[in-house]
Amino acid sequence: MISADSTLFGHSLARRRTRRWLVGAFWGGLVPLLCVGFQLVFITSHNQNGIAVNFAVLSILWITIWLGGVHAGGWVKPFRAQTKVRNIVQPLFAKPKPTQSELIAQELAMDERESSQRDYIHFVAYSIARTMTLLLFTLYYLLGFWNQELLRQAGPLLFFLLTITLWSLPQTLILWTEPDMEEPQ
Amino acid sequence: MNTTNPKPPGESGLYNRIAVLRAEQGISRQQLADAMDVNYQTIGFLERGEYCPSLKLALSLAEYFGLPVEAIFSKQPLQPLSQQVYGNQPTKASAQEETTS
Repeated sequence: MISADSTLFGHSLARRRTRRWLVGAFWGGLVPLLCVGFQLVFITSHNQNGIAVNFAVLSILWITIWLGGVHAGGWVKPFRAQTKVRNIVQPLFAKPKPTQSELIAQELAMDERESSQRDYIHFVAYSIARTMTLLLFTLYYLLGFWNQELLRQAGPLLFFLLTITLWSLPQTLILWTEPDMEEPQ
Repeated sequence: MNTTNPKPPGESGLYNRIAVLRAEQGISRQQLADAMDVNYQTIGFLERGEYCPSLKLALSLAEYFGLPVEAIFSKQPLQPLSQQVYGNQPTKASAQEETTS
């Protein structure tokens, strides 16, 4: 997962403090900005289906690139190796199956502690997301009783926020909770 | 009771002698990690008792150090090896250390 030589814009991610600043900047700055931007584009756009969807897709792609996604890619790389989930899903999209040696290499890239930590973090993220989904759904449902117009406007935003959360929460939790990385002395 | 690891064993609930054995053999965390095929940070987590290893990793460590598993890991605080092997009484230094900790 996170290693002592992980950096972002020249800043080492070995220190938990730096990682927490990154998470704070993401949730305190970037996500609200994206939500406002999404809502503005969605409301003001004459062609809602076109511009709004494009903006949402591009934003989510950018977010996953920024925090690294569940897989190994991205700038932050909270998870070093690809997950087994990808190995299961990949054949469904008719891409070539990874060879046995590639699978072994992927497994070796993350040791047992990191794998168990990754799985635990995803469980915690699921538990949080489950509650959040229920809250957002309740909010959406109540908005329908209260104000139909507000529901029409807020519905996509709630869905957007839920998507950001589902895609970024495991990485957020890893970056927040992993202790300071040690030197390999 | 004098122990090599008087601190609580962290999240794992296991006491261990990995740090002592590693120091005794003069190897770094990285070297031990390479031998165990794990990340060096996992060795740090093990030494601090913050991670409970799998049976496979515990057996690999035992094999690497040439000791039985129960000599490396224990649910109870571990005695110093010298005291366990030779029945030595705690030295002044260890007794002083115990009182200060």
